[in-house]
Amino acid sequence: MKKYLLLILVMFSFSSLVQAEEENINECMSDIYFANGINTSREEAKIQLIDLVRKQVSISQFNRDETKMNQTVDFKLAYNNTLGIAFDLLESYNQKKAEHGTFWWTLGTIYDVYGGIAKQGLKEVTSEALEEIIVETLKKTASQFIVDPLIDEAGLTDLAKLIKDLRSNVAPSNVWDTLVDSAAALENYDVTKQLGSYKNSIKLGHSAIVIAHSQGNLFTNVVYDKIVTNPEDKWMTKYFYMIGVASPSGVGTGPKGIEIVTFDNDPITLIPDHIGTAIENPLRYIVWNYSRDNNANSTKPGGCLPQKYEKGTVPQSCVDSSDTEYDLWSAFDTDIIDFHLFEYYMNTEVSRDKIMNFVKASLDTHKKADSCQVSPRYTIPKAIS
Amino acid sequence: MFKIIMKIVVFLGLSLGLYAGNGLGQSHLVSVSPGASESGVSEDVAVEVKFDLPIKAKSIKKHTIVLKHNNKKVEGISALVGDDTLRFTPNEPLEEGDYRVKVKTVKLQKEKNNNNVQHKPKNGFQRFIYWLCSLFYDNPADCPLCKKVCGNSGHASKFIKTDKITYEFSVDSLPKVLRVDLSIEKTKLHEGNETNYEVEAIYDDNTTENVSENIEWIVSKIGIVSLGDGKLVALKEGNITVQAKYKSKLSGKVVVTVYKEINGYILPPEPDKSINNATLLGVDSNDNGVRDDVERHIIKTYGKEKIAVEIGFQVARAYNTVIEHPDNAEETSKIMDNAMDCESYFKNDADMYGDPILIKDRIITSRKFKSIQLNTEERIRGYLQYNRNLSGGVFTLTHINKQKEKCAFDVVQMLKDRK
Repeated sequence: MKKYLLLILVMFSFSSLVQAEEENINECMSDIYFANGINTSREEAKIQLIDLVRKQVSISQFNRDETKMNQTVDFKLAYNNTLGIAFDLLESYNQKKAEHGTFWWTLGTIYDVYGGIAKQGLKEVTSEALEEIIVETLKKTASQFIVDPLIDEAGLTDLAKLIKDLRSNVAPSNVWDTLVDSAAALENYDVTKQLGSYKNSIKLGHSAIVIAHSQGNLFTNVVYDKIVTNPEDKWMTKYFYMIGVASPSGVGTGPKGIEIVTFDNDPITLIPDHIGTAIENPLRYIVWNYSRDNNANSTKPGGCLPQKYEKGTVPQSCVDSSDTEYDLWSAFDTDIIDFHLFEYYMNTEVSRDKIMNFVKASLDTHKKADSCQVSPRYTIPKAIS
Repeated sequence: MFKIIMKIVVFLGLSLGLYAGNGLGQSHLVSVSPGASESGVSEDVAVEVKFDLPIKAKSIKKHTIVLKHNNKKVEGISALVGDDTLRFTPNEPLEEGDYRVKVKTVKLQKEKNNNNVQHKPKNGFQRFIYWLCSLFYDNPADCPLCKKVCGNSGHASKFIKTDKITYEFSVDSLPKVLRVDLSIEKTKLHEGNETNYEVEAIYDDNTTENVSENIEWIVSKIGIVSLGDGKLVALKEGNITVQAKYKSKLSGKVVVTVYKEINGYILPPEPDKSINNATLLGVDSNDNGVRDDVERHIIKTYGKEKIAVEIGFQVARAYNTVIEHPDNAEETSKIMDNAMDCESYFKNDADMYGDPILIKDRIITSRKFKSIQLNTEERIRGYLQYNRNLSGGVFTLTHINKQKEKCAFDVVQMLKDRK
């Protein structure tokens, strides 16, 4: 008799566990993640997700039917914090190094993209010069560095000591190695936290649809690598979708391979080993070179200021002239940092459409799951935090 | 003979007419206090005689000024005040009644480059006139007749003798002012408004008097208010102290605040930068959880729409919370998210629920707002630390239909009010 009772008890407990597990599983749901770029506060990143991603998804995918949207998607910010532009660049450098090996000029170009080199007035990028610039920048911003709560958690003991030395003007040792190691440790800390959330989404039957901007691509790539290289988790890659917006990365990630939206005149394309597949930006930024003294970005006589033009709208008088003096000027279509911003991508039709089409395709693919073809087995899930 | 008699008659007539008799009309005398024939003089008065030239100190004696009451000398001290004023200070307060002042001759020092003409007789007639003038003047040259008749001598003397002065005044034992009270009906006023004030003198006999019309005002800053005719007019935003002065007595200081009001929101006063930036949370004079400089910016920028102002306040409070407790970022980020959700509702989604879109540009990430809210190193560090503690975190957005309820003010009532 006791055996029967025990069996009933065990069966009851097991079914309760299964029930508890199944309550939150919903294979009709997708989680749309936004992985932010460099030098962005949490509030700024979250507002990019709300105002640019969710608003567009609501309009383009659900015709602003919020009930339907809530039954289909949740929106999540996968936040990577900034420790200041210099440190963020180091972090990016580490991530690129992991992709392609160590190239000083990779860091140099990343730094150049964000205007660091230009501000320092350097023409030639050498490893020594870069090291000096980065360390000097960190010294200037040392007072803003507060890593105390992360020291133990993220393994930043050496960085904490370095910053303490910088603040107190003590000549620190092993500066470069410490910075590079610390950037790697911090990246690992962020990735580990985010990895758990992505895996949790997929375990609950959701797809993880990631829209990554700029450095967010490098983080998401590492997350994906960890999933794909772990035999226990490899099955999850089927439910992992990613589009890289203005990606500095040399690789694309996701079940369908590369999904990239990068404008041809986004300065991120200057980064070595950039993945390419750029789309043409309908807006061009025209500057003039004065060939006599190579004075770039000057104002050309006749009021031709360096400015943005819609493609094909550059005044002919500004481009060429039979005038001898004017012949010394030549127009250059060049890149500016504005074209790298996530806002710019989402507010420009050609890129926005591409991103929204990717979201639609990902949602549609995920909805093909058997459980979504008939009336859902489960009730509408609770929001997953 | 007739000619001589005529000259004598003319002389006597002129000299008697010109001679004032009480010395009050003499040259070099500036003022006497109390005034001649003045009544109602206070019992603690001192007699003062002021000349326009320095007085030779040695010419002052114990009884240079004599004060008499009922033909009795009043005891007191004569002294030189400055170099041109004689003062007699009675030893005791004066009794009520009539007083007679006699000021004896003193010597005044002439200016260094005195070009005054000196008058000395040359012929018999002039000598006669000079002699006659000497009967009435210590210095006959001061005699107007002599000035006309005696002729020039060219000899300069170092001193001028003053004439004797005699006059009277009366003392009344009026009650003394013990205290002056200033009352202002409203001490907080909107720019352009006015309020009534009253100044009351309280005397030692327990009587009071409204003296609002005879006040000298002492204000800490000019241009904020105007005072007069019993009205205080608020001219310009600011904080000042006002004091009334009556008969040398000062009232207590009254703080008057002139404020600006926009759409029902009173702008708090612009805080002193050094005080405001000395602490993490700064100055919050109305204790509403929003720093005064931030509150001023919010009201000035978003004042036309009350709900936008309330969202701005919620955002500002959220920033204060996250910078105050950066180590507790997981919890404080929820407060920040509530502010963001409320703002998102009125920026993106309100029209889906029949409410108006009221926010055009984000407050929470506005550069201008952040430059005011996070304007010191300590505040920036607090915010950066909060951010770093959230690094690697994954944050789920609140569903759109739950955003409105994240507003920390009575949004339903406010929406009703604006209809």
